[in-house]
Amino acid sequence: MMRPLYTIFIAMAALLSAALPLRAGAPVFSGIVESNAGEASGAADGFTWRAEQFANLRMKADAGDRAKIYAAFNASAVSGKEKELAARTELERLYISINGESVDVDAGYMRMAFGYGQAFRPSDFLNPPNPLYPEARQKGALGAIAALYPDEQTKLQLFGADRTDPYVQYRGYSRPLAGASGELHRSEFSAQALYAVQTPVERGSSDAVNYLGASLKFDAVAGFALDSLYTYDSAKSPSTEGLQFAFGADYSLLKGDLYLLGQYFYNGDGSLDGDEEISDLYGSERWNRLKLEQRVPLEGFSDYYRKHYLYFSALYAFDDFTRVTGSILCAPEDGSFVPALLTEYEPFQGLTVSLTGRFPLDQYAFGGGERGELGADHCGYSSSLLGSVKLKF
Amino acid sequence: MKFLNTKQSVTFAALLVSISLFAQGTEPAAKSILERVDDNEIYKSITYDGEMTIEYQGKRFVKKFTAAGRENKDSFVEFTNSEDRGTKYLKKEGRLYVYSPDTEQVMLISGHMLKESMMGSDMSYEDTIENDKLSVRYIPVIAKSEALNGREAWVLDLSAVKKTESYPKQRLWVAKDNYDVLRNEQFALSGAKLKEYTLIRSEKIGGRSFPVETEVKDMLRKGSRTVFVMSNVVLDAPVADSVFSMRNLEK
Repeated sequence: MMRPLYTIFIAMAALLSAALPLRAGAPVFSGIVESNAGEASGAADGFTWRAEQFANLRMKADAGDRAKIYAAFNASAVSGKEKELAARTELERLYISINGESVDVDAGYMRMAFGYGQAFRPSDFLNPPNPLYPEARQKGALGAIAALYPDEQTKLQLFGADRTDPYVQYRGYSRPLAGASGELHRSEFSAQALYAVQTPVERGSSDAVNYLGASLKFDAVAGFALDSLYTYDSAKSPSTEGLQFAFGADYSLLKGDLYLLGQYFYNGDGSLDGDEEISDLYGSERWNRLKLEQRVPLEGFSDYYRKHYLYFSALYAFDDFTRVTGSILCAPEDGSFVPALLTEYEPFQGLTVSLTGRFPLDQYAFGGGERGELGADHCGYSSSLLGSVKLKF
Repeated sequence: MKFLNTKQSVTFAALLVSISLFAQGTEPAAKSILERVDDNEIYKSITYDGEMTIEYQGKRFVKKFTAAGRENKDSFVEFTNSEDRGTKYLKKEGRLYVYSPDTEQVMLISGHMLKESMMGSDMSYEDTIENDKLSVRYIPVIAKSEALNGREAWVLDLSAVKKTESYPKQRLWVAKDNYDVLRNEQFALSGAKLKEYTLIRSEKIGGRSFPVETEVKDMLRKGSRTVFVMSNVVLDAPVADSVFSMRNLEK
């Protein structure tokens, strides 16, 4: 049970001792500790429950005048229905940051963020956020970034990374990419453009994969954001399949107590056309009788299988300590959607108690019609509740 | 050396007395009072360590930060209390950017959110970045003189020159001895009081009296108050351009 914690402290101590000879400043520790308990019911697995103790532990240490070391670890202990207690640790961040006279360099396992999209952010292509879990910290990427600032509001970057794609089997080899991006901030707008080229999908091939991203954020009474990514595999003909874009607007009312967000997402890579059903995704009418882990899409796994999505959220703050957020993610092509309700309360500084409910629904759930991508059968549950106590330090 | 004769001496003395009496009986103009307030409070640049103690609905939150500002254009704030450590705000060219160590990303704050409470305090983002001369933005009128907390003060009523001001009307209690703003009430166009600032302590910094401890009340938040304390205040010293940069925000 204690091994994961020992691992973390030993790793942090090693980092610290490595930094000390470089005239290190005192390291700063921070993080989040969470106690979670949740249940999911319905669909394939019946009723399940889960309890988890989770921590995200972060360290930042100066190493000399110009360098910093960052490290973060996730530690968790989980038990659940028909699951033995399991404790594990995971490296979340480990990188150095060097501030030069005119160029800053970050290298290691870190967050490499792009774009301004609100819930969907396709140009954040190394680890795009999931609108169902907007509060989640993004996974890291192993890579390096050199950033140059020609003026106070312009940023140019060269970057390289090993792009991880959890859904694609690379048969034991990594697929690094390299690219450049430019970012411009002006009083009227912020804009970013990026290009990256990645080694071919097939080993031995010379057909590189190209990424072209663009993002724009501007104010016109409301806040608007356009975020896009075009993926071009040289082995294939150019088509709209490579296009992803999101357009959204946010606005606040009632003196800021009510915050509204709406966003449309186009996913050209979606393997299902509007007239196709989920059974076409798996090539079987009996897909819903299989457990989640047994289902294999004919055209491979993906985050999204449809082409069009809508996302809406409304956050209402009753006071400084109590907030309710209602959100809904829709796949309008098959009429499925996931409404979610998050209530948060801050009893004292640094502590947040929350309760989240998610309820996947589709036409089938209402007594007829087809099962949808965001419906209970496809998501694997018909409702889930998660209670959480989160302490920041 | 030639001295004044008796007649000339009497005439000169009478002139001095009349000037003196005139000076004692005349209040300075409202505009000049407001200009003296500006002389105290408006800076070319500032750096300080800040602490906000927010009391609301029986709860008490303490936020600590370091801050730098330059004229009315640029400001940079980095929070240092453990719960918010690493959260940074940059105001540049009228836009506000925030870096959160949780998302590890710079986000542009939409303009419609600038009137919202900053970090749960009684001050909005706009309040914290405001540093423009009152004497330019408002037309003052002396309403009366009265004592406040034992100090004689002019009470000035201010009307905004532009309709776009967040607070179209303000009422200031200005100390007669050193032009401290002892109290500032800020009103909506309807006359509803929106904010109230009360000076707790000012310090003599570089020949001016500068407010370093203030109580702020957002009247729309019942029972709420924020005590804002500044320490290690440095005024009008050069602050590097790099402080107010995206690069600093992302460090």
